[in-house]
Amino acid sequence: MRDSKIRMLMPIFLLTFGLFFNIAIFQPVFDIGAMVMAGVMCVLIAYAHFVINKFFGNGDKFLVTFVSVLPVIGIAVLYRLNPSIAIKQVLWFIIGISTYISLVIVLPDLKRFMKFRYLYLVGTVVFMAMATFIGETRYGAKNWVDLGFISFQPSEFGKIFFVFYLASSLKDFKTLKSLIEPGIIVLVSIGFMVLQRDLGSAMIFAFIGIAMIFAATSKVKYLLASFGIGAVGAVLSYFIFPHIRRRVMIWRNPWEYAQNESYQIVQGLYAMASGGLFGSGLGHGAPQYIPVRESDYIFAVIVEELGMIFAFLILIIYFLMFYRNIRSALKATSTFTSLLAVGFSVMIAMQVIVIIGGVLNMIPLTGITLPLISYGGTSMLTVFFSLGIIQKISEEATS
Amino acid sequence: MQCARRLYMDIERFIGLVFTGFFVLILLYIIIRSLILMSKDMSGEEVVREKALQLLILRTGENHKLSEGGKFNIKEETTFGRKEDNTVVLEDPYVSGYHFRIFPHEGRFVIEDNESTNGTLLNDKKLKQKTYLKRDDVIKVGNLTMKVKML
Amino acid sequence: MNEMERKKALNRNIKVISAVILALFMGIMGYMLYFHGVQEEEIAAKPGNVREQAKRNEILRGAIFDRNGKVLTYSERQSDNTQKRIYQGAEAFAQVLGYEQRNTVTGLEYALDDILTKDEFVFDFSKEGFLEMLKDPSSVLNRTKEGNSVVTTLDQELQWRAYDLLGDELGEKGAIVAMNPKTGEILAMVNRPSYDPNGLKENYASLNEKQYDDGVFLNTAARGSYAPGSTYKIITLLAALEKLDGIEERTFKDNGKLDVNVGKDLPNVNGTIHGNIKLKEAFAVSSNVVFGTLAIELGGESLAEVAERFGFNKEQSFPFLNMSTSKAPKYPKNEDGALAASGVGQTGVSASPLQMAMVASAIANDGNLMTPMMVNSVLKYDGTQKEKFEPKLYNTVADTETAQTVKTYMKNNVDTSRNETMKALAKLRGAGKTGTAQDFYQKTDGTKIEVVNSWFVGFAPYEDPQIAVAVVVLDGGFGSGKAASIATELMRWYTENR
Repeated sequence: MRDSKIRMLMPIFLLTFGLFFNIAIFQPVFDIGAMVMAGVMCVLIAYAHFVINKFFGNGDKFLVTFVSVLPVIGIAVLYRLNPSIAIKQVLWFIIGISTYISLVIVLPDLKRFMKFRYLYLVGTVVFMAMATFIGETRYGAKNWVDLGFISFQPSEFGKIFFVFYLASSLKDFKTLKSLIEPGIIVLVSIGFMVLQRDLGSAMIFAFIGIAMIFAATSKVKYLLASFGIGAVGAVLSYFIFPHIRRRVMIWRNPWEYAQNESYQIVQGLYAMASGGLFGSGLGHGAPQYIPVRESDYIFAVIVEELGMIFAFLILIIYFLMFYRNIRSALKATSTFTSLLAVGFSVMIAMQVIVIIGGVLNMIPLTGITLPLISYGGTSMLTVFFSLGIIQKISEEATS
Repeated sequence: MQCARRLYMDIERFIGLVFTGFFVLILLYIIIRSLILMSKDMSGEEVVREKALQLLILRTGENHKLSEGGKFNIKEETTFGRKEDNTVVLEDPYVSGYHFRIFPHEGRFVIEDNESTNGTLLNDKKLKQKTYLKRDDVIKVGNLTMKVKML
Repeated sequence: MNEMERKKALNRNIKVISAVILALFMGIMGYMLYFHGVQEEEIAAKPGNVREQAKRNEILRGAIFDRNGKVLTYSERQSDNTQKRIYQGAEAFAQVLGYEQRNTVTGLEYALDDILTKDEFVFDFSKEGFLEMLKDPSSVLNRTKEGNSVVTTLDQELQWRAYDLLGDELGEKGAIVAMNPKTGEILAMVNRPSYDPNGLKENYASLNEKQYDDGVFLNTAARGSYAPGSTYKIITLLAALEKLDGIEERTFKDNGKLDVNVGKDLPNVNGTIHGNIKLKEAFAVSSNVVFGTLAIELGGESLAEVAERFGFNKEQSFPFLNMSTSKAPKYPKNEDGALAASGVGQTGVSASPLQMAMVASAIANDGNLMTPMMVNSVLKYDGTQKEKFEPKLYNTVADTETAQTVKTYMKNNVDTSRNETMKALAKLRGAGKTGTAQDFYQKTDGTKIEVVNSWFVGFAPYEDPQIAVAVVVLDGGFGSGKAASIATELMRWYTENR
């Protein structure tokens, strides 16, 4: 088994060095810094692989590979866009991967955590509400909190508490009554997101809630009911909130508003269309015209420079990651841990779907990050944390 | 020289395409390899599940209920001792109430001495901590000698 | 057991959820395929997509030189990676070279656009090529890309002289074309009024207002249309010599006015009576009576046929140069008024200064009209020659004998004139024909202003013509000879300095 893991490390190393080499040789002077970064990342990835495989060979063996490939692609593209941001992203990657590994090593049996339901409830509400009260607005959404030395998105941490809360409160589902409290929390969380104009996160919370409730209750009517409520809510907010109307308007007619509101979407479409199947080459596209290209819109840069085929393969990797995550949910030993895994799996998968769908203008655009690839420390931490929990769950499932 | 005419392409684009093609191939490799391993995993698991330990009795010692040459198939946790509620009851007075056990862990089998009075010997060394069993290991409790075989 | 059931149910639900998510993933993948297959090309081609321009911008636009290698226009790379086009030719070259601004390209810049933006670097896709690259990858991967440069036929000093002469008190509006009659190379092509293209960005709005009324952007020297007036008599002369037997010996009665049956009577300039004159003298004094008569005798078709040899009535485009279509009308003999007037370059006749320069050129070159040339050669980014253009014959407009007869007539104009300017021209052994044309000028609002344009068409030196010119000064006035002075001075400078 170990042998095959090393065989998986080889392609990752090749990919890492390949990407950075590609960037390096097109600089006026060969960029040694790029190669150094490649080296650093390979060391980290090798370390992570060894730890997971040697000491925790019982759990999922594929996650660690996917969790290495995606950030490598992300950091390489970020390096091409803005080296200093790439370095920051590497730091977050180090923190993230360490978190991921630490969770597996340090955490005791997860079942111990199922009792802290009310702690999670408080945590959820606190983080979801935080930005409304002490937050500032960035890119039209008031969901950032700046504490001077560090700034973060509290809703990201809120997601974690949210999943833990729902897992702990839904695991003993028996009657409709026991759904009231979780239901309220779900609505409250979504509500805060709408208030903060972070519609993308609102959608994610909705999907996580629906999925976990359905998983726990098995009742199709609850599923339909929640979809119904969601649909009603969506339609209502369309009529109440002008900015939602705007989003739908530019989604349907991006070309009409190309100079103003839909500028970002249109530039993304130009970029992706110009790339073609194989892209224009790393470093040879024109991403400078795309707004927010380092975080939300990094997918457009990838399609433009590395091609549609490459992006398609990334999508497949995201799906495989989802598959491994959900497998851990299936093999989990308790309802609590199973629900945890479901929640986190759905969280990551829906984020991928919503942002890529938005960039492609398949669905209205919302401002969320592409997990593990977009620039963003909070996002990376949250995803690595979730994956760490899932890895731990897969670890526990011995038989 | 024909090369120069056929590939009339911007050299930068050419190099870019070579790199991109390389990256695509690597991703494809990772994906396909993962898929292959995953499917092996799925079918292979059942096999692992079925993996059993076999103990071949070389000497019975004072345990009259056992016979030399007899075989035990162990699939799940199996306890050995004098008390009646052990999986395998041993009569030898040398043996403690709950003497030792063998249980599966991560696809293999582990032997653990249960702080027995007289101890358990694994390959003639006193068993102090949980140890994975491998083929041809010899377990001795008193005069009971068993050899490990895998199925 | 309850736990088991719950587990089973949970797992079943999870599988349902996974199926939904799988469907969503497939939806996205499908959309990506749809995007690639259907939408991609259309989107990439939209004008808002600036990538084409960004690609164009990677290549530094090539320079334009005069025939002696003097820089007329070149581009400079700015610190923000954009290009700035520097027009050293300034006002004198503004219309003929045109400008390149963002997405608009005009004049010669437009005609040469593909050449100026072509990066001629070809990578040697062979083992040797790759090895070479490895020695110094930067030189291949990071090289500065430059387009081709173009060496024009224009003579920078001559052009400036022409421009200054046109503006020097003598007139504010007009055009000059100077050609080498033996090769067709255009040595100078200027327009007034003009503007400095270096200030284009700032002044565009105000210049645009002037466009229709004063025409600052248009290369009227080639694209304008004017009544050539008496200079057209060269063609009428040629037609007469060719088609009317014994025309040289004939004596005409010129009593100052030609009476016609249909249309307006055709008077001489100032109604001057010339009495009994032969053809040569009639040409020298520019008798409208005589040439009107000739036109009537020849008939519209016949006269136009000769004009058409020079390019009249045809849509012309020369390499890198477009010209307006010159008109030679074909009035039937019964419309004698119009026919006569057309014979003297008025009614129904229009030509650009370039066209008239071609007329002078053809005569100077013994009847062989060479195709007007603007470009001599194209140079690659490394200075080596990529292409050289050779002179081409456009048409033989007359046999040598007849052409030379016209030539002598034109020389005679100059030699027998008592005008100071003509005397100066005679010293140069030049030849030519003056003209005064009644024309009108149309403003943007549709109003027409009547003007009298002063023309001169000629060449020098007679024995071995080096330069043929056509000068028109708009609203130069009757008989003022403004065009002639300009042309003379220009030809003098050229023959003395080149």
